[in-house]
Amino acid sequence: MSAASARNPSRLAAARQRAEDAKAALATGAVVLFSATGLAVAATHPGHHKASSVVREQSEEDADESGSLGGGTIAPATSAPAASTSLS
Amino acid sequence: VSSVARFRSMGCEVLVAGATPAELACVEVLFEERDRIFSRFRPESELNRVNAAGGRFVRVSAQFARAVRTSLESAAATRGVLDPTLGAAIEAAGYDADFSRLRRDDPRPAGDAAPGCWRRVRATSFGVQLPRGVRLDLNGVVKAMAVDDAAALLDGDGYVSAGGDLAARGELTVAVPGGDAVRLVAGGLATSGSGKRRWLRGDEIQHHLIDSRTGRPAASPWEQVTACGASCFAADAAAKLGYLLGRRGSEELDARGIPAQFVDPDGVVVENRCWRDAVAEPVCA
Repeated sequence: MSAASARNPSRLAAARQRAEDAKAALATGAVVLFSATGLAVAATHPGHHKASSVVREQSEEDADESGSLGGGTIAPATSAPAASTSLS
Repeated sequence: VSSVARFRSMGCEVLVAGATPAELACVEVLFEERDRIFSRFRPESELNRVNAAGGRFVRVSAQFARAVRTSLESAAATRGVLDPTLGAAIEAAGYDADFSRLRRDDPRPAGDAAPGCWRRVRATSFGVQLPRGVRLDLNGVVKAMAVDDAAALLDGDGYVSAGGDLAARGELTVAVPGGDAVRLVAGGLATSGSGKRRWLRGDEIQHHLIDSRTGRPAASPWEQVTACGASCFAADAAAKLGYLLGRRGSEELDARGIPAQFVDPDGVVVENRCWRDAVAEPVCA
């Protein structure tokens, strides 16, 4: 057996080892990426895992008492009325 | 405010002041569109299509979804005193045609009471599902929203008014029931009551302000209530709330920071604290 042919098995083994290492790294990366994506989706779209949250019945917790029914501003009249509010 | 244009829509007279011809045309189109969508008296309206769905989920326009969402928020904010699901109740009371064509002394008794059930309405941004037999009446909400939307179309000072609901651009002096006047600085003014839209069914007086608990026209010590809200929609909701809550109305609107005045059937005017504080003339030292 020549010196060159004696070197071949070890080079093949080394190449196989590098291929195995690369596969393992790719698999780990995929798992990490998948988990990170899942966490990001859960954080940015809370509640989307519940199908019923899109169509929901109403509750008093939906109320925004300060927003929709807030008061306006009136002051003493300083001129003759230009309009009126009355029943029609 | 100079020229005032008038036209009829949504069962009442609409007044528009300070609008250019182009703005006035837009306002008329807006009211016509809302009437076409929300009228109880147009068989082809979107409202009647939803009411006839028999418990099925119905796709609706964005404008319809917005009105339903707003009315349900209003119901939640008033713990159901203002309820959009009283369409069957108001028809049972006899208000089943345009008021100008309504028979005012019908000898037939009122139909079955239909209490509100707003919590059972399912709504999304594109569809609505009502329980079987339940009918929406969005007229009050929609008229006030139309006034707000129309006033927003005006570039300069002016106002839009429809059936007691008023929104202004710029400050405006407004005559209110009881013979007084106030300066509207911000928001809207609205008057609601049973003084005008009333009729007889089987010798019993009926009107359009329904008690959501009983499904019958409300018994209130007030003939009309005027309120000033952050918008015309808020003012209209507050005026109805004040009427429907009866003697508790004044205190409730004070707690919400809403100026309001109440007129009883004898013409006696009661102002809540917010109204009194707002219109009190400053005392010189």
